[in-house]
Amino acid sequence: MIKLLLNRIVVLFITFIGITVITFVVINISPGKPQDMMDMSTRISFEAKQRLVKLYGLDKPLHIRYFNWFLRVIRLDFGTSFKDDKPVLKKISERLPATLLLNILSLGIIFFVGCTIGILSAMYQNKFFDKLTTIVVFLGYSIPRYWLAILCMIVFGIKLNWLPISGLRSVNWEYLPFVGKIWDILKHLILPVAISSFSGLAGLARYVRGSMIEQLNCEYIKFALSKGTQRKKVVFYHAFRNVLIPVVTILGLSLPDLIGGGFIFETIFAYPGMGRLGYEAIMARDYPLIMGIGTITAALTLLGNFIADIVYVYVDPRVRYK
Amino acid sequence: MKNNILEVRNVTKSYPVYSQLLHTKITKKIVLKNITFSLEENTALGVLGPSGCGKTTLAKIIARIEQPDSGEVLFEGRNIFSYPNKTFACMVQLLFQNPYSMLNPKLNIGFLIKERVRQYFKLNNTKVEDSTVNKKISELLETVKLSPDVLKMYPYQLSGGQRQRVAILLVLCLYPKLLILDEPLSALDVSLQAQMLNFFAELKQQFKFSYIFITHDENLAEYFCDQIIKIENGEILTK
Repeated sequence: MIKLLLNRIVVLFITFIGITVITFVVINISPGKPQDMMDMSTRISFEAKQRLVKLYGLDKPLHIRYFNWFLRVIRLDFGTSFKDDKPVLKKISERLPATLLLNILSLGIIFFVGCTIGILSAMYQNKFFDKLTTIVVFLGYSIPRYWLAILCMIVFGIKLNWLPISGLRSVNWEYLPFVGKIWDILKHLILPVAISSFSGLAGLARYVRGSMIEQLNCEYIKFALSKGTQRKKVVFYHAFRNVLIPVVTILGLSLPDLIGGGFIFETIFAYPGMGRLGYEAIMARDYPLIMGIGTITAALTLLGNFIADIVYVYVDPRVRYK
Repeated sequence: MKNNILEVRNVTKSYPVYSQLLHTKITKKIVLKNITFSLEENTALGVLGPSGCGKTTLAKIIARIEQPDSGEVLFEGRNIFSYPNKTFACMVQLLFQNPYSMLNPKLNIGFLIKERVRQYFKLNNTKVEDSTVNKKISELLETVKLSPDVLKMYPYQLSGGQRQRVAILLVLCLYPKLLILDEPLSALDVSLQAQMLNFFAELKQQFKFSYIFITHDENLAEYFCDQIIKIENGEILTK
């Protein structure tokens, strides 16, 4: 078990280095330099631009810059933003909780609702509930998230005026009582969480349904039923336990989607998270901030996969003993 | 004169055959045609027949895993489908052809046995403590000649013989009145087959159950059973 974990940690570390190298090279060779982006808003002289290039260290070769950046990152120094000179880590730490809140809520809903729909669809295969959820689930698969987001914003935010359509708090949030503050945040979260869960939930529900049908047809389920216990008990104790393996894998793999997919999604909802910060950083060619976001996103994604691997070991004894 | 414990009356069973392209039902394949026989208390019935003749389907119908298209199966004079699940669990148990397929691959043997032993006490409306359950498990392990070490193991870690004994233990846990053994020796090598035959004979003496022994080996059925029926193409040829 310890050997297995050490192996995974080594692989994750190599993957992490690979991700940072690729991100660093891609942003540095992409068109538009930080000094050019500034030129779009303010007219600055060629000499001033050269001074900026020197100040940011952009005149040095790529590998030297990467090496310097990596040495700083080891000491948890991500540098300062080109845009406003604020430390990158501070900017990220301001936005990360909002993204984590959105993604943890979404993952929780995907897991509980997706599994419940999948199990019930398998238990009542080809019945009304199964057919109805199949239609809803295929809609979830096929409707683009950004389109659904805009549609829901128009319906629930503008036409019905039930829910706020942007940000995480109202303008008067600070003046609200404690319960009012929580309710205000919850209202702001309903649309982003519901829409971000919808497509993930669709995929998981189909996986769970398929795996459950396969398990329910196994002889060990028929044998377990022969001891006279209720069907739902056998379904949860025996069949669902075995279905958990693909579920854990899918949840682990959906973490990068939820963090990476936030770039467009958070921008649509003007949600103050990592995704929107990343979008703004890319537009401004703010290299330290892009690298900071890329690094932290990669670290969280790899951590999610690592946790999925550990949980996998616990749900499947055959992995534990190999 | 002994009473009939089981009566199978005019049982017919068919399965739909689907087209490969559109998966629509095109015809049905009849696997059992008007099967009728009875089994007396504390006797052994051998069901003989070549592969695919409907022996396992018959076993599954008697164990209530499958429903017949027509006809009925009576256990102690009552239709098997009229019994509540809990009552029927103590009446008929089926030992599947492949013992490995009976065991949940993700649960250890200790959990599987404990679950069944607890169920046995529950079905008999007896509230028991863990120590009583563990004592019962030790007794059963001794009966099937298994070491307590298997309790911590998972099905894939057991040998063929151990799996077979665990499967037998699991069906015996509930002390059924009728045991259906669906080709119980087919998954074992020759030396283990002989051991298991003697073992079944011992268990029958000890537990006093009736059993249906499904096999395609005529000599084995003659040695092991009091009466024999032969099935071919879903029909009883001889009794």
